[in-house]
Amino acid sequence: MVRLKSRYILFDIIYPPNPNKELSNYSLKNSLTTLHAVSNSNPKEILNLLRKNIELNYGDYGAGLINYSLMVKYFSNKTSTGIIRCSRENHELVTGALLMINQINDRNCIFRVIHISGTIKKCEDYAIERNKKLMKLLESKEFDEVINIDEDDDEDYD
Amino acid sequence: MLADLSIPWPVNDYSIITREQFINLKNRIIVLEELQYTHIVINFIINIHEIKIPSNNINPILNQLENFNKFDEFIKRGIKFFTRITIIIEHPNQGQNLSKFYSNFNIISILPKTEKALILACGNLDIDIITFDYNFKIPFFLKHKTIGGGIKKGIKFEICYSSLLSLNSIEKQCFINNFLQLVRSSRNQNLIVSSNSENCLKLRNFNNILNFLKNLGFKDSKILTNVEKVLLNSTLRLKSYKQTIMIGEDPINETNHHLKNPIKRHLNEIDNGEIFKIQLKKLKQKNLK
Repeated sequence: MVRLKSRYILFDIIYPPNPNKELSNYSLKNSLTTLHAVSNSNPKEILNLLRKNIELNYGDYGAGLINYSLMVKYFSNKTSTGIIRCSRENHELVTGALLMINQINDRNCIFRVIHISGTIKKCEDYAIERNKKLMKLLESKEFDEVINIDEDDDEDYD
Repeated sequence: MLADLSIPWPVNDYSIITREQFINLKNRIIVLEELQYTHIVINFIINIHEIKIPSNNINPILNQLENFNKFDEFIKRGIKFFTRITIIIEHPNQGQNLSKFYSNFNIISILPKTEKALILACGNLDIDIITFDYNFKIPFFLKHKTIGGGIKKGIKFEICYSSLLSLNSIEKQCFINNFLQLVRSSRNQNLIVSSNSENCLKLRNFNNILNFLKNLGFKDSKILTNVEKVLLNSTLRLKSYKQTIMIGEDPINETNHHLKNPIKRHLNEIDNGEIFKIQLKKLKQKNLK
């Protein structure tokens, strides 16, 4: 017996600002918090949206190929990251459909595929590592000021 | 290093942009920054037949953004900006005089509308990039002979993915059709990928786009170096002697150019600093004698 092979796709959702609306300021902290806003959708809605998009872009043939073993394993509203499971042979169709999604619940969004792996454990590890880096960026006090290091002018090169 | 070689300027003539259009431009830059692009090229698209070019202040982007002073906060975070002009050519006799653009724009590109214009652009003109309008079908057949002439000269051919993401299904089909035609005629050589999107919703992660294009049958591992080459060529045109020798540091990866006095470094930290050391010693000895 051969095990059922699958691929796990780690993705996150970015919410771009309204194109013609000005943000209060354009500092790194503000832009990070607006783009990584809290999402208000559940895994079921994402799965339905994905199925719809596969059918829209790849037709009945693609929808038939992908239908078995497609599943949203995990989705967190606060960080808006999630993990999708799909069959190994056709995971390109899923990433292609995720690329072409424009809206979720009438809200503009960008889906970004971060990592693809064969086990769910590796996806989890990668997500944790990424979020740690993001938190470090948010916690650091000031990014705008660059520390200016000057070296001595009078130095001998002998 | 990731670069987006085409962010369109909001207007196609020399009029002053409104506040709303400026905000639109800023929002696009934020999203690009989040997607980890570090080099952004703002693209001014112009139709030479319809618009007269003024004798001075040819570059409206540098003029209206005050030499990118309005983007100061982005530059401080390490993002670099460049300017580019795209000239639409319909008749081959009108695109001959490009010399006035060379000193004002970093990158010069051409959008041919007819086959004769494409032959002219591939053969005679000194340009960096040839683009096409991916929202419509290219009205002529791309021959390997003409495209190959451009490849020999080092001209890059651009793929703009924004029409792939539009809601109109005909535009999507046209994109895929044109893309496959370009890949066939160029044999996977000298291609670059950029966004060309007019708002911040049609921007995507570079690797995701590349994966999608690879599924369509695109095999180019050099695509990132191609982008780098275009930027390097453009900076060398302005700052170097005959595009071969230039004194200074790496013009592309240098990030602290926003400071008034770039940080001084010890000779040991520079690549090949030892050669300079030997030269300095010789000069000193000569002076002593």
